[in-house]
This record gives sequence, structure tokens and C-alpha cells, in this order.
Amino acid sequence: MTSPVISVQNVTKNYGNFRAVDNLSFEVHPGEIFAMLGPNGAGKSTTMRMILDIIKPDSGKIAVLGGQMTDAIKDKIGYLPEERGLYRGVKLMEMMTYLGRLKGMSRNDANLRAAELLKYLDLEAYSKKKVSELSKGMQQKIQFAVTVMHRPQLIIVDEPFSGLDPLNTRILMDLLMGLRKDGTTIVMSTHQMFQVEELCERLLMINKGKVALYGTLDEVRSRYASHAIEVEGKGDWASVPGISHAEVSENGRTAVLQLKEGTSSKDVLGALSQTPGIEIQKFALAVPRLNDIFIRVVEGGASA
Amino acid sequence: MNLTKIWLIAMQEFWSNLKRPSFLFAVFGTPIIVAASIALGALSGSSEDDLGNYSPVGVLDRTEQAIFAQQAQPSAFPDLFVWVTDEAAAQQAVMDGELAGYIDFSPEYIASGKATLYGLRGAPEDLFDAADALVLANLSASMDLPLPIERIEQSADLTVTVLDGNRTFDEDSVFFITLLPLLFGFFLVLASMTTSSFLMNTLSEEKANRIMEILITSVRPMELLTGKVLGMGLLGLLQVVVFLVAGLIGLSIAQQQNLLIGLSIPPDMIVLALVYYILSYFLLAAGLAGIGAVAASEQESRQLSVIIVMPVMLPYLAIVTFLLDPNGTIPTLFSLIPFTSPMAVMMRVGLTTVPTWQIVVSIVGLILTDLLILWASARMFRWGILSYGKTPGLRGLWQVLRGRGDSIGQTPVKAKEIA
Repeated sequence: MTSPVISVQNVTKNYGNFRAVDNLSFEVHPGEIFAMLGPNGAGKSTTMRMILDIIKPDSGKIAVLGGQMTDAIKDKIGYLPEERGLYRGVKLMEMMTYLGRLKGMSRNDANLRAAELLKYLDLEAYSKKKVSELSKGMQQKIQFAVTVMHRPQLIIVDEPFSGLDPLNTRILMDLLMGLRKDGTTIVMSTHQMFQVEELCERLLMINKGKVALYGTLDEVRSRYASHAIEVEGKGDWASVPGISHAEVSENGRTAVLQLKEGTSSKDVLGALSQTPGIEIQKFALAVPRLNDIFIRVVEGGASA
Repeated sequence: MNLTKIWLIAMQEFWSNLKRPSFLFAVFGTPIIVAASIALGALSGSSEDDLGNYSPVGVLDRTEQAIFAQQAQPSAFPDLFVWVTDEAAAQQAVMDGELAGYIDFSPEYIASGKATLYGLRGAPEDLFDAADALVLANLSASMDLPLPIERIEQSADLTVTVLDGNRTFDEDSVFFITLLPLLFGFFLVLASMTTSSFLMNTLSEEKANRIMEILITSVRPMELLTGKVLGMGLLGLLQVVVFLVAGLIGLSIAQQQNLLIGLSIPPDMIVLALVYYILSYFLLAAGLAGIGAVAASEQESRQLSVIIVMPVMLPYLAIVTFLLDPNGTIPTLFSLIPFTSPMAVMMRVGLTTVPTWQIVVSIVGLILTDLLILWASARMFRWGILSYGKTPGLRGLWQVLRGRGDSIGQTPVKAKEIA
């Protein structure tokens, strides 16, 4: 098995009397999109900053791209902090080139890459504009471009899509997916669970500095899966044999049917087809939404 | 330390600040205004002082001894004076514009030394010197001494030669030689103040807009700090050069360059000035950058900057002691203490011969202090650039310097994430 891109082992970090990260351990594998989830104050940003060597852990070990952080490794990482930062009074091209060169690119390479990214993000016409002259959405795109300027092997992004409209979110998602296809490893922190469901293979949920959930998306879902069926259609669902309880959506078009003990989904499908007045457009095993799992974990204080 | 990245940061700092309108005004606007005011002042002053517009001047000799009977013209003002014998005619000549004015040497002049100038407007300052020269010329002519008049008008032109063999200055340049160290101090403080305040501005700006967090994932805090201090240092040097050039142009416009004739500044003094400028700049800039990084606001950083700036300025407060006894205990002590030494040594080299060992000790001390301040600032920088909203106390600062800043209870994460 290939060695992990990030290895965090028993890491603890205190700020005064406040324990921000508590004996945290996890790994990020090469080429995956890895999600870091958790409520505000859970310790996600502190963990990211420790991975990036911005702050030091009090105890535990962190290895990135095969070892402890060095200048050469720093140049292989792209970081998008949650609280964005750009030089507001500097022209786009100049700023992108400068930040690219700080990551070890040559001036020529940085210029070409900046032009390429500006074209991809449809911001070519703004290359000589200052950041302060751009809309908030454009600035977000530029921030993203700065993160991937130097074609990093590892990208760490904190809330990458916050404040973006659906169109721009899609553009940046496609960019991330493209980078992943090229073998880039991506660590992403977000509160948007649907983005995790769409993009990520594995996830880590932190709560109060500790691991609350850790594993593949499927593993996590199956751990929280309920004995239920999701249907779309209309009818009196509760009257169907084998159903203990029906949870109908607000618009009445969908419902989650809880099955009685010993009843299989196949039994229910048969019963539904024989029950008069039932119309079915969709029938599927109910998969728990990450959003619901998140709320259950945070409210219930569950841990892995 | 990655020198390429340090240079890259320095250049970015240099050029981006050079393009700032506020910096351009500070660097170019202020000296232009100063130069223009010098030139205007000199030009307006010279028109008042110009004897060419105030000529001729009548001499009415009413003394009993007729001391102006020889009608000798002073050598420096050969055509200025004309002799008049009748007061009414002299007054009429003034009214008609034939005379700019006339000096009445009354019979009481011999006893009182007082003469009166009559004219239609105020007299130029040079006329007072001319009147003195007129009296000397006529007295010497009446005594029939076997000397040129010039030797009586200007008895001894003193040239001072310091025995270290490096410096020779005459009456005209002694003023500048004494003034030079003070000018050095002025430029040093001015350039350091301007550049360090810009350094603090860029730091607080980068800290406020969070780009700092991206920067330190690319470079080490020490590299970032060094690059910024270097870039700003180059700007400071540029500023000093611009100030000097502007000053010279201002003087040149005012046709006052003759003030610098005879001024010779020894090369070792220029080298020393440069060495002390650079070393003291690093001291100020690194110290202020550290303060800028830990201070919670720009206002607070300005207040805290006094801690660094005051010791550097201290010798200025003791300027009288320096002038009276440049090799005394206080000037010597100030020359050896790293913070006060740049100003103290530069003030002394204009006044005396500073022993070599004192210069060596002060330079070595400054280099060591610079390194210490750079190191401490880098620690403060590393901690401060991610901390928002609170300045550490003395105990906190000690922990920051020990590299345990994270544990002083101020979390570097976002305020909203603090539980």
C-alpha cells in the first residue's frame, strides 16, 4: 500500500486551558478528496494549520508528503484559508505571478500558468485590474486560482465554495475534480454536506477536538443506516403491510417508510404493488443523508 | 534561509510600496516642498539682500576728524558708496532715486559709534557689513599702514586641521562639518520613521486581509521578515538619496552652492555614516516589524514603537553634553550602547576623533543586537501574524520569545471558533 499523503498521529493542541485538538489521528491517501467536517470550533482549522506547520502541536506526530514539513514540501502544497486574503491594491497578474514564484515557480512559468487559469475562470479581461475592482465572486475565483497556481501535489481548502453562486461553484468543483484526476490529493473542509457527498471518498468528522466519525462515505452511511425504504409517489403508505411508520415529506411526494422487524425490502415492494390506491414512481433503500448524520453526531456527542 | 525568496519578497515590497501614492508623496512630495521652500526662501532672501538693487549709497561725513576724507571704497564693495557733502542734497537725491539711501556719520559718531541710514525702504543685510568695511577701509587709509586693505578688513582666515590627518575645514565648512552628523541623525530618523511606518502598515494590512496566512505557507516567518525589512530598507535608502539630491537642487536653484565650497567630508566619515545607517535601520525596522506584528491595532503599534525609537534618539537629548565634551563619560557610554551608538558616534565624529576601539565595539555590539532583535522579531512575527485582537503582556511576550506563544491563552484561530 502506498504511504499516506498526510499522517496525523495522536495529535493534541491546547490554547491556554482550551483543548482545541484532542489526541487526533487520521490519514489522507494519495489522489483522494478527503473531507474534514465538524461544527464551528471543533478544531478543523487548527488541525489544518498544524498540518501546514503554521502552528506546532503540543504532542503527537504529523507527516506530510512523506515526512516532516520542509521548504521543498511547502512548495508542493496549495492552501486556501477560510478567511480569504489577497493584495487588494495589486493587479491580478502581478499578484498571481508573485505568489506563484514564492512557491518556487519561475517568472515565465508563473506568468503562463496565471494566464491559463485566468482564461479557465473566464477572468482574462481582468488580468490588469486590481483585486479591489473585482466582485466578491471573482475574488473567490482568484483566491482559488492562487491556491492551485503552482500545480501542488496536495491541496488543503477550507470552505472553498462559501459565498459562490451555483455556476461558479460548479466551475471550481470541476477544477477540483480535474486536479484529482491528475493525481492531486485534496483535503476539504466544508459545512455543505451535499458537496461532500458529491466530491469526497472519505471523511473525518471532528467534534470538540476529537474524532467523531472517520472512514469512507459508504462506511459512515452504513453505520447510520436505518431499516427503511424511500419512496416517491402517492397513497396511504401506513396501511401497507410490513410498514411500522411512514414519514411523508411536506409536499407529500416522497416518504420514508420504516419497516417492521423481520420485514425485508422485497416483502414491502410486493406488498406495495398489491395495495390498492398506491402509485409508485421511485423505490429505493433509504440512505442516511450526511447532513442528518452530522446533526445526530453533534447533538448526540457520538464518537467513532 | 532561501535567499531567492527573500529577494523576491524584498523586491515586491519595494515596488508595491513605491507605487503607493502616500509613499510617493512622502518620498518625493515632501523633499520637493522642502527644496522649493529653501529655493523660494533663498531667492526672496537674496533679492532683499542684493546690494545691486540698493546702490549707490551716500556717505555724509560730519565727523570732526573727517575720518572718511580718503574716500576709500571697501574692497568687497568697490562701487557702492558715493560721497555727499550736503544733507539736503542727499535727501533730494534719495527722493529722486539717484541714491538708494545715505549714511549720516554725525559728529557724535566717534563717541557713540552710531550712524544713521536714511532711505525710502528697509536696507539689505549686506549693507551693515559694507558699512563696517567702509569704516575700516577709511581708517586704515588715514593711518597709511603698509598693508593691503584686505588684511585689515579680514584679519585671519582660520583653517582647522585635525591631527588624525583626515579632516581639514575652514570657516565656511566648519558649520557643515558640525551639522553633518545632525543631518545624518535627522535623515536616519526621518527615513526610518517613514519606512518603518510603511512596514507596519503593510504588516497590519496583510494581517487584516489574511494574506499572511498564505504567505507563511510559502516562506518561513524569518524569510518573510528579512525580505520585508530589506525591501523597506532599500526604499529608505532611496528616500535618503532623494532628500539629499532635492536639498542640493534646492540650493542650486537658489544659487547658494557657494556655501558648500571648501567643504570636504572625509571618506571614512561617509563609510561610517552608511554602516551606522544600515545597522540602525535594521535595528529599528526589525524591532518595529515585531511590534507591528504583535500589536492589536495600528494605533497601538505606533504607541509601542516609542520603546525602540526613544533609545535611538536619546543622544539628541544630550546634544549639549556632546558639544561641550564629546569625549566625556556620557558621549562615550552612549557610543558603546547598541541602541544609542549610531547617533552618538556620528555626532562625535563631527566634533572629535573617536577612538577606533570604541567604533569597533559599537559596530560589533550593533551587529549582535541586530541579530538578536531580528530573531526576537521573527518569534513575535510568527506568533503575532495569526493572532488577532489582543497584544500580549510582558509575561505573554516572554512566552512568545520562548516559542510557547500558542499557550498564552490567545488562540490563533478565528475568534468565532473560540469555544
